[in-house]
Amino acid sequence: MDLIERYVQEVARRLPRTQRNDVARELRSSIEDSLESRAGVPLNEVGEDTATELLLEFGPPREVAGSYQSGPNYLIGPAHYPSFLRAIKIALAVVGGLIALGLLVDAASSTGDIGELARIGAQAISDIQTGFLSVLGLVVFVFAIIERTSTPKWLSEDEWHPSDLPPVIENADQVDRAGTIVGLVLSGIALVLINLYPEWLQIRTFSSGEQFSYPLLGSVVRTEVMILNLYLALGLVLGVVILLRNRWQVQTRVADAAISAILVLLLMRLWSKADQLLPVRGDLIEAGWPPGQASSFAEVADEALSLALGWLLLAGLLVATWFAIRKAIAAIRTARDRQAG
Amino acid sequence: MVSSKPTVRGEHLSLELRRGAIVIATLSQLGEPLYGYSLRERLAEQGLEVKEGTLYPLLRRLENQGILESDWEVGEGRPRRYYRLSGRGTQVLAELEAEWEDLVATIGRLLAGNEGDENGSD
Repeated sequence: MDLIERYVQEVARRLPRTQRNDVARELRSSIEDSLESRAGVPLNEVGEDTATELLLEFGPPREVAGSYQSGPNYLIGPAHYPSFLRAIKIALAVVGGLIALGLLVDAASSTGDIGELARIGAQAISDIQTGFLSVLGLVVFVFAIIERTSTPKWLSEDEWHPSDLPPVIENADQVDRAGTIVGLVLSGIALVLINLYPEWLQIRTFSSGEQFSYPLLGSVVRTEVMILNLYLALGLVLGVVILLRNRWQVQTRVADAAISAILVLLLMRLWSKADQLLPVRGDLIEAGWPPGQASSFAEVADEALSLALGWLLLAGLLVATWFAIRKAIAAIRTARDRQAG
Repeated sequence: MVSSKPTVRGEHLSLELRRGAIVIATLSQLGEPLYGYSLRERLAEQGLEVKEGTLYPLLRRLENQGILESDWEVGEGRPRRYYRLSGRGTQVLAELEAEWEDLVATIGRLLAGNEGDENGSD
């Protein structure tokens, strides 16, 4: 009967290929048994009404097929769903920040021409589409694999033991999620700026319609730029780790203090050579500046800028040191609490 | 007619209650080989109506868990898949029976206690 074949087909096509034919055969045979017994006549004499009534009792094909499945029929289950949502949010925030940065750089470097602005707008929309979709796809893919390959010990009901429960998050160990995400985005932006758009970090001047520039991150601070990159990259990794763990632990506290110490070292080095950071007249002329512009800049730099920069770096150094010490104390405190607990 | 139909919530709870019972009822009949429809008939004769869309998938799942074994029999009539308890299934059924009896006795005591209270307060 056509109706039965259509029903069996609808159930079977939702089943794994390996059991499809076997289940279809059994389902067909069972339905036919039921029909004959219900109608009290051979199958070929059974009316369509009886078949309709019977199939309504069997239930929707989707439900019946679902009852045959014993494995997970979802991509990401309840055990991993909260982490999945968290990862999606972090990934989208980071990608969003990077796209916004690209947009800003493009817009700032554009000539302001309407056509070009329209092009930048269109590019931004396409970046958002591809960026968000690919990062979503990637996160879903990774979590689908995690779902199918791992059962964390504390989630598996057979082996669960109260001692597997993670310790209570002390107030002091709570992660400032918003702050951390902002930090991640800013670190990402800084890394991109320093490494991909160094021309944005320049001293500029205009003379008779022509622009002259001098790179801020020149050879004088080559080592410092490397240290800065290291500081930002390690901060980025740590940020992702604490967002995923959602709590401060001894290891992350120690890492945080160590990364802060890198910043202290960096500021110390910069402060010690504060007087060499700004170009003198000769450097500017070498970079192609007109002598008049070079002289006036060098004069201001020598008198005021250099001093201000020195004080600024010293203030930065003191603040960074204070933070590094606080973080070291926090690490020691967390370690002590763990031992006591 | 409409008023005699259980509420959605009531229907759901009753389904939940029956779910475990259907497993033990099914296993209890499969000491001898039966095919899906004949098993359903036998359960219905004894007063337990099970939806076909529930029973046939259940048989497959129990087989996947190693509790049932099955074979196709292709005779003169239509081909039928016969299910019966496996060695492990026999053991599982014995354990379930013991649990069932305990549960019925406990629930019986609890409900009887409630009735006593209600009578007392009225």
